[in-house]
Amino acid sequence: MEKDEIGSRIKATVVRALQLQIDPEELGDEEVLFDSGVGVDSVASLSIISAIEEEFDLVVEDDELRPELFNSIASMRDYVVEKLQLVAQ
Amino acid sequence: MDSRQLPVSLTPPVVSGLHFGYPLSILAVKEAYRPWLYSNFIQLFCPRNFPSESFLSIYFHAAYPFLICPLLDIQWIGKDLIGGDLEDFIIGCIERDYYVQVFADEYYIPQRNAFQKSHFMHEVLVTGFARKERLFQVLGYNQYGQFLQSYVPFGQLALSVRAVDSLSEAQGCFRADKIWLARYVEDETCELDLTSIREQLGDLLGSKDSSQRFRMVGPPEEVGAYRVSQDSVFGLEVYLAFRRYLEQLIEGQACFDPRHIYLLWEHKKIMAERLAYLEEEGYLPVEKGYARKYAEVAGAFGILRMMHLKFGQNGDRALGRRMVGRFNPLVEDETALLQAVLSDFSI
Repeated sequence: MEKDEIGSRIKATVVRALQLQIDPEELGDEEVLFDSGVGVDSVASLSIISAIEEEFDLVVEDDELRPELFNSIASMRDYVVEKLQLVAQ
Repeated sequence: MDSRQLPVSLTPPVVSGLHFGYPLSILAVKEAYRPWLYSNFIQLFCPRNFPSESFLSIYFHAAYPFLICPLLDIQWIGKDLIGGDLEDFIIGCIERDYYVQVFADEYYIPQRNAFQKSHFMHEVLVTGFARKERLFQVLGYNQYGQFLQSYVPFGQLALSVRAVDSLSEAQGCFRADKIWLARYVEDETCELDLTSIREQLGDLLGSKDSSQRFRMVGPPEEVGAYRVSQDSVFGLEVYLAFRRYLEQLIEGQACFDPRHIYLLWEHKKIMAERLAYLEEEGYLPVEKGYARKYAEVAGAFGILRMMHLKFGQNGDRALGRRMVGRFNPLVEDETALLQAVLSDFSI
C-alpha cells in the first residue's frame, strides 16, 4: 500500500471517528489535531486510535500509546506505514 | 477603546487546575517566567483519604490560590467594593492591561459544560471585550474539556457573577466573594531560586509536609473544612495514594477521573524542562544525562495517561493491571533519578 493512500485512508478515518463535517482532504498533513486539555481531546485521540486499529487491522500496543504519534495526519501515517511493514515481515 | 484582547497562551504548562492554568496562561505568553516556573511546581499533595476525597495537585500555600509571581501585578478586590456596573469595571481593568478572574455560575456561560443545564461555580478569566458586539472574551474549559477562548454577552457575565452568591458551594469557597486582577509586569524580571528548588525536591522525595514552611505566614492552613497539614499527604506518598486509586478503579470501587494522571503528567513534563534548564545553566552536570533520562519518565507517564483513558473507555481489567504494573517501577526509576539529581545539584 502506498504511503499517500495510507494518508488518505487515515484522513477519512479521522473524519469518520470524530464525525467532522468536512472533506477529509481538507485536513492538512502537519496540522496539529489536539491542543491542550484534559477532556475531549484525549477521548477523541483514543477514538481515532480505535478507528485506525479497525481500519488497518492492527493493534496499537501499550508502548505505542504516545500522544505525539497520533497528533497529526503525518505522524499517524508514518506510524501506520512502519507498523504495516513490521506486520508484513 | 472599542475593543481589546489581552494576549494569552492556550498551552500553559498546567491546565489541570484553573487556579494554575489562568495565571500561567498569562505568564506563558513570554519566556521570561521560566526561571520562576522552574523554581516552583515541584511538590505534590493530595488528601490523605484519596481517592475518596478526590483531588491531587501541585502544592502551593493556600494563601496563593492564584499564583504570586514577580512578573504579575496581582490585586484582590471584594465584589462588594465595586460600585456601578460590573461590566464597566471589567472593561476598565482590561483597558489598563489587567486580566480579570471572577467566580461565575457557569449556568450562564455559553459553551461551558453546565450552560443552561446546572448551576456550577467555576473560575472564569476575562481576557478581552468588544463594546459594539457587547461581548467579553473569556478563557476556560468548554463543554468538550478543551482549554480555549470563547465569548459571553456583557449582561450574562454580570448575571453569572451575581448568581454565585446564592450557590451553596460559594459559602465554603476560598475567596469566592472576591475578584482577582493580574497585570503582566513588563519591566520586572525573575531568577531561578536554587535554594527553593533544593528544598522542594527534598520535600518531594522525603514526603515532607511543605505547608510547615509557611508558619511565619500564618498557622497551618485550613481551606474551609480541609486542614492542609493534617488532611494531606505530600511528595512520594501521593504515588501510594494514586496507586490505591488505580487499584480501586480496576475493582470498580473508585470513580474514573482523567485529571489526576494528567496533573502527574504535567508535573513530569515541567520537571523534565526544569532539569534541562538546570543543565543549560550549569547547575547540573550535562554528562549525567538527567534531563534526557527524565524526559523518558515524562514520556512513560504520557503513555500511562493514555492507558488510563483507554481503561476509562473499555474497562479492560487486564489493561488496568498492566497500568499498575508499569506504575510501580516507573515511580522507582523516577525516585532514584531525582535522588541522584539532588545529590549532584550544585548551588
